[in-house]
Amino acid sequence: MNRKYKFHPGMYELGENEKFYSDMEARGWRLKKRGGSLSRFERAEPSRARYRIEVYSPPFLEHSVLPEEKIAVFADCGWEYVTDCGNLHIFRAPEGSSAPEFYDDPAQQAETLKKLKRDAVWGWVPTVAVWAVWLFIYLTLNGAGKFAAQFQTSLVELPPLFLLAGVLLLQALYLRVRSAWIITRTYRRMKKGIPLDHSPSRRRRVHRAVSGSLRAMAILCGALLVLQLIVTRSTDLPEETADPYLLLADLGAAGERTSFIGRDSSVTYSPGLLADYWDMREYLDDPSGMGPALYQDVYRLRCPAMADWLAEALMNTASLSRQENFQPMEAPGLDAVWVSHRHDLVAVKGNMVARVTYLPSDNFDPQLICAALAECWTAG
Amino acid sequence: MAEQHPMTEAMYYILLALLKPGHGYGMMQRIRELSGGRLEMGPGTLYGVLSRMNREGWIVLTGEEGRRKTYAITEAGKNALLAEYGRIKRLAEDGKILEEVGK
Repeated sequence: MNRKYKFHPGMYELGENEKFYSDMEARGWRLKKRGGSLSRFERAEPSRARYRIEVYSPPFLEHSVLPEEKIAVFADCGWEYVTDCGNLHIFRAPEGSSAPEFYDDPAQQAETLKKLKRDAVWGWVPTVAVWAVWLFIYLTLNGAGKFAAQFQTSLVELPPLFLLAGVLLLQALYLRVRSAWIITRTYRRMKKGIPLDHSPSRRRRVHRAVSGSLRAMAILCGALLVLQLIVTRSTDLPEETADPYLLLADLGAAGERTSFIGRDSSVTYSPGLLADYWDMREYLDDPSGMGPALYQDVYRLRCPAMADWLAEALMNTASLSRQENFQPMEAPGLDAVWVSHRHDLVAVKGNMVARVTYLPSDNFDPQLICAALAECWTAG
Repeated sequence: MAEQHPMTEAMYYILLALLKPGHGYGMMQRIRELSGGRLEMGPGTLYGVLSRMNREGWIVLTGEEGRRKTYAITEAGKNALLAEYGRIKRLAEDGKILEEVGK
């Protein structure tokens, strides 16, 4: 293989990058191209070359291309232009070259880092601002309670997604803070007249441990997410079931199964870290054309203490009722029941929680549904 | 005229070098000669100072050969250089007292 790709140090670690490329060349790999996270090397005679990075921040809205004249001046001094990536421009001086260092005065080099420093310290603001505006619009339209409730039900249904998002957020935060700290420190040292260390010997043990752990956690969460998606199965609704949800037949309705606006009678089962979850819908044909329909979200929680919390969230996210429409109801065999209008109810028993929607509302019989649920969950 | 800030060594020598128009590499060689080999100016320093002095009107672009640009000092640049020379000379004269102390 005459070509090799390797992860390089972050763009704010100037000295580390210079050392990294010199070390690679000493091992017989010469830098050809630097990308976002990886650098491309080609096989070459091992030699002790020097690499230096010039940071060039172009004027606003201009592409970061180093002026030809600047490249010419650097080349005249013995610096060969290798490649660039963003604002970093990488030069190389071969073994034995007397090419002078770029800057006599570190304070002058510090000036070239100003924009990089500003981006590292404040670059997160536009992203956060866009998210804040999005969140504000969403909350204004839906209300904070509904947002929190949607978050809670999704968390119970697909925890690895939230874990992954959390770990990625933590990773982004860590890298942001670290970048800002590194470039600010480099800038301040240069301002004080301390030149850049072109061959830093720090081993970055803590950083490796932290970023390695975060990466491992992200991979683990990603694997859990994939695993949950693999084991989640969507099937046609069976005629009879031992699973903890009701069928229309259990409520005395009869008729042929049918589909409604293109959706078949089906059940999706997803075993998760916090709960086993069944999402079912059933439609029966009826001469009136308005046959009964049953929708259920049923959860078997690993931790029964979460039951009331989830029930509250389910009331808040019901698509046909508002949370304030739900009223508590006594039902034998169940721990708690809340009924809304004439088509929604939320029931809790031990670690079991369900939201049941029955249409048409004329035939909605909460007592019958509660009795059927109590029997179904006791049998289960 | 407002009092001029002291120049950096790089600015002083680049202006000196540009009394004879030249391009980047030529300037660096000339600076080395002028300073008796003491000053080896880096290309980053040279380029940074050139851009700044160009903005301030102390030097002017006089020609381009390929990707190399040739600069020359302007009247304003000469005045600034003379003012700086006068300042440094005064500093050296004032410091002559050191020779007495040293004896």
